[in-house]
Amino acid sequence: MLICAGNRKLSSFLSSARGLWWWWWWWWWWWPRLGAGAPLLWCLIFFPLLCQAQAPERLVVIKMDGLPYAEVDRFVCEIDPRTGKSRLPWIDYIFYQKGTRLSNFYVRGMSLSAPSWSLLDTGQHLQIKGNVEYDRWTLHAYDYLNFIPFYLNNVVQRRVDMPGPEALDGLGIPLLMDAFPYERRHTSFQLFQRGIRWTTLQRGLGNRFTSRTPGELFDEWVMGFDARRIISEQLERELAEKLSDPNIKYLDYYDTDFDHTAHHNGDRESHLRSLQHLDAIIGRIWAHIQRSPLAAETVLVLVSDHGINSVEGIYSQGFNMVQLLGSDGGGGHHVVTKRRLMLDYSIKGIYPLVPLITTTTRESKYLRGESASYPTALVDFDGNERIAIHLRESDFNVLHLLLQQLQRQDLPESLRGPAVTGFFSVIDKRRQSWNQAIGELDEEMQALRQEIEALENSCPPNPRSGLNRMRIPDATRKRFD
Amino acid sequence: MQMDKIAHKIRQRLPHFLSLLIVLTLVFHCLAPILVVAQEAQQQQQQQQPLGADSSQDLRSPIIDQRAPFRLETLPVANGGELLTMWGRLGDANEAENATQEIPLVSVLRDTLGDETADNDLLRYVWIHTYAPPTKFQRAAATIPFLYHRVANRQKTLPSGAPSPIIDLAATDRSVWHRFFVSAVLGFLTERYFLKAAALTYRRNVQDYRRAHVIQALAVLSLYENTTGAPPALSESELREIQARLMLSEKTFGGLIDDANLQNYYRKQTASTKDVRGHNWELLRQRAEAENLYFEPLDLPDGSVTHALVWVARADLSQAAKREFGQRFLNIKNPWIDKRLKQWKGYTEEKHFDAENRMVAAGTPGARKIEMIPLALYGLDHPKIPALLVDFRDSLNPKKRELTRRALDDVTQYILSVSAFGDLYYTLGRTVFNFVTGRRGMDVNQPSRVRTYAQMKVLLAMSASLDPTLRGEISDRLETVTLNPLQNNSEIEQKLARAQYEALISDAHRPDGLSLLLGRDRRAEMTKFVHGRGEQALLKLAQVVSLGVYKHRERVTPARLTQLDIRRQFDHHTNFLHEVARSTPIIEVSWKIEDVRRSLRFIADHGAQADDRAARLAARIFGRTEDRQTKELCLLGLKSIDSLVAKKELMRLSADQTLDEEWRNLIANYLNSDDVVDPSAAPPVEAKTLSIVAGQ
Repeated sequence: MLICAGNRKLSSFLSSARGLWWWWWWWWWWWPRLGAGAPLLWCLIFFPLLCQAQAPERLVVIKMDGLPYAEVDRFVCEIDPRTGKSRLPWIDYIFYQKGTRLSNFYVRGMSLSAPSWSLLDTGQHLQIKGNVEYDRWTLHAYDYLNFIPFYLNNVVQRRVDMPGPEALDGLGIPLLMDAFPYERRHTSFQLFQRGIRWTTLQRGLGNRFTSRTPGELFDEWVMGFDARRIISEQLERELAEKLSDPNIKYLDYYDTDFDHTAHHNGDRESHLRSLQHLDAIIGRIWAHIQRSPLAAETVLVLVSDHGINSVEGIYSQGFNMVQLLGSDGGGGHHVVTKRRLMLDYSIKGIYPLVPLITTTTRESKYLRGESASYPTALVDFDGNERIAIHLRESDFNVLHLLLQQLQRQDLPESLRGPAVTGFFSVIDKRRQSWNQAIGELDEEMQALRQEIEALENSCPPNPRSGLNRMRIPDATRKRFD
Repeated sequence: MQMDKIAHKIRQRLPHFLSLLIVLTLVFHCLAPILVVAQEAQQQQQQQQPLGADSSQDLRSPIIDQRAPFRLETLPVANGGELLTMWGRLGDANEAENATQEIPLVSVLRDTLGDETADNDLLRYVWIHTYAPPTKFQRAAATIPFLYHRVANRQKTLPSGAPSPIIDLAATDRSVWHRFFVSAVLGFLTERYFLKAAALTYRRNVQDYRRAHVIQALAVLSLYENTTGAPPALSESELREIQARLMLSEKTFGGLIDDANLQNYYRKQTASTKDVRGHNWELLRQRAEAENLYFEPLDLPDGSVTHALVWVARADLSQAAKREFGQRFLNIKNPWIDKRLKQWKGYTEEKHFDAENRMVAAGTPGARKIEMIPLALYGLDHPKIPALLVDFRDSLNPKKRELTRRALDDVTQYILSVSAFGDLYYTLGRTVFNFVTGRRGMDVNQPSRVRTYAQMKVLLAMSASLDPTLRGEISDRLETVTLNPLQNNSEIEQKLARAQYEALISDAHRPDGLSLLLGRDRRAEMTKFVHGRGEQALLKLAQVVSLGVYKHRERVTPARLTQLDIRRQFDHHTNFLHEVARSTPIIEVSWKIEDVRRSLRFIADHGAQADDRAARLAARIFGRTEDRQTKELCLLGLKSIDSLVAKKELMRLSADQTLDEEWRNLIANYLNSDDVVDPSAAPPVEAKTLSIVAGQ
């Protein structure tokens, strides 16, 4: 995390405190001599100063996906012989020379986008633990990265938030942006996004053509349009526009360019090119901040969710875990994933709205041909040489196996008895915990039903429909019942 | 209805076409192998006899670093030029072998105007020495549709004079217009059906032949850059400019791209190439390992990998007779049931593996030895999938795959006479077919493997890591992949490279050679000092229409030479300032301010010759710096530029209320000075504004 305090009070405090070496020496000398009164005295002197200093009015957060601190640091410290400046001059200027940085930033959780951003955006303990999570009982998938269903559902007004904020809302955990009223914040398109500004897409497309001369457009056409930059350029324009509005107190900008590059290429040149692109964006945002009315009261933060563990010249040496789980040695599992294997080589892969993909195995000992009903492994293979595997509860497997055997007509009586005993012993072993879970679920459903009824009663009459109150559709109600 | 039309067309044209085609194809197909074999036998006898000019005239006496794969030779050319030649050391050359194991690869002519200033240097021509003009026989063969075979090597001596450059870096637009003109002429002239087929086939073969050599040159330049770094003789930006221009020469409008975009384009393409290579590496490795085969990347001297071999262990063959085999992406036959492999007498290699099954060097403690049989060689620099280049069990396998797309195109174009624009059903069918084969990564109907084929030739020539026997095996099989009758084999290409280089050097020494060319190009460059834009366009048109026979040139005078010198420096400084201005919102944060000042000072000193672009840049830089001296230089530059744009920029700045009073006063002084443009010369609205600002 890199922070630059545009706040003059804070930065002047930091710099003057560094310069007053004699002051620090004085405290170091007197601290043991003052005993218990030293911290109190220290607080009395510095607290008002700190209170005065730490009152920035506006926060600008630049969120970069997959930016490794060590690599950024290495390039910042390198001098470009052509320019005579750092290879990343703006990061050097803003954060190294004028700001400060946390070099040992540590995320308590997986080094993955969805968990890391959930932690950074909330400051709370980790609740989201993968880019995709599964409910093992219902097989519902929480895909935090797939934005296409969100956009499509937003068009038909079914959803307003990405799955990440929805999950956190369910847990009652607010995001950083929620600390600012809606009209005082300007947010980017990101993983933990609330709402969509469709005008960004529309204006982005228009500006792509109007912001360039015909010659530049021609050159771009010949060299190949970079469609992904349409959105990021527009987001930058909108950020610049909003910076001039003193009422906006929170702004963020999210960019995935480096993450995309680093996932594809491990070479220094590609990384540097992408980082220089980001560096230029940071420079432009900084320049806009300086021209804005709240320049002196703005804190600019550059933050990233995770790094990349690629090494130049070495390609991934991973192997196919889905195939391993499906193999005889791997347990013969039918495996559920959020993406199709070899997606880019599949005709069906062009369809983006598939919730779950089941890879069927022929090696299954007792569930052959039943992959649709009984997948036994749920896999999130996203991330840097890491995978999350959710396996079906083993007791269910035992019950399934025994039940299959008991259904056989040719099962010898000598085995049938022990099989029945075994079957019920598993049920007895789990009876209490399952009953408890069912009881809790009933309680939840009851509470939910009551809440729905309260909502129905609180809604104003709907003159269009002729109904007195908004009613939950019967089909939905039946699901709860 | 559509089908009837097509059937009618076929009935009408097919008999004539096919009879002629069959006769010609049969003749060439019968002759081709005989000719190639005969030539190669003759070639072996003449191993040490170089073609063309006598190499004993070598005055340059290169000192060779035995370990370096490349070296750069600089030769001064009379009349103010330099010929830079990149030499590559052959991969199979051992330490004891001498300079004959080096080959000249690429030469670049730089016009220095005879001084030490780098700002007025201009890169002009690039020669790829293996790119030789085809013989008449090769050209004739290249006109025959459906002839997908190399028919003969170039054995004759090269035509006298300097070899033709592959590109003129200072006038890349010329090739674009030339290409369009030739296409238009072909469209008019080739009404006759067979003539059209022959002309189109010939053009495609010529383009593929050129493209293959451009790719070889790019591979060489990339290797050179990565292995040696950028020495002062050829800077990193120059090297990248050459590569970007060569890359763009493959695109229809590539020659029209602005110089300011070249570095960016180079970086973008390089990243994309690395992405494709990495992707194919991983795909092939996983597929090979899933089938219990062994994957081995082949390193180039710079450590980059463009190709990979897939091996099978001989011991595994006997143990896995009933193992299933998935051909997907490997595109070779099942090795587990192949009897030929069980009695394999061809090339084998012993490789060593450690306890974790990793390939290690021989002699590593605890390593076990396994005898390996090569199955296939793949090119990794190919879109979407690894391209099969050599199948050690079936030489025709890669060729069949390479042929599919080309044959399909030729059949629809020449026999069915159907085009994508003329027939809806064909368009739909072809789109679906292209989508399915492309999306699934099926190795049929894929883009040509000319790129990876050309890179393999470089790898075979330069890589020292390949066993000589394996190199020979690959080289022999690789030659069968080519579909182009104009192509020569690798050994002939090496001879041609030496011969062409000698011809170029002797031309460089002749007074009517390269030095004359430099002078003529400068005279053509001077056209812009004498003629306006309209006239220049007409002169260019005349050049295109005359196929380059006519080229307008001005007379050289000392004044024009000075003007040329200043113009080139101007271009250098404005290009630099353009890059500076668009890269950062505050110049001194990202650039050494002294360099920026130097360029601005040049503009201020030579304002009379500056154009509108320089004026706009000076104004842009003014707004992007806090450095007082730089700001002053910007204003000085704007003041000295004698154009309306410069004055308008000054007026805009003077009206900017966010500027300090001091700056606005200075600008007003400049506007009120005698140098201000006469308002009467400006259009009415501008004249009015100028008068107001000037206080008249």
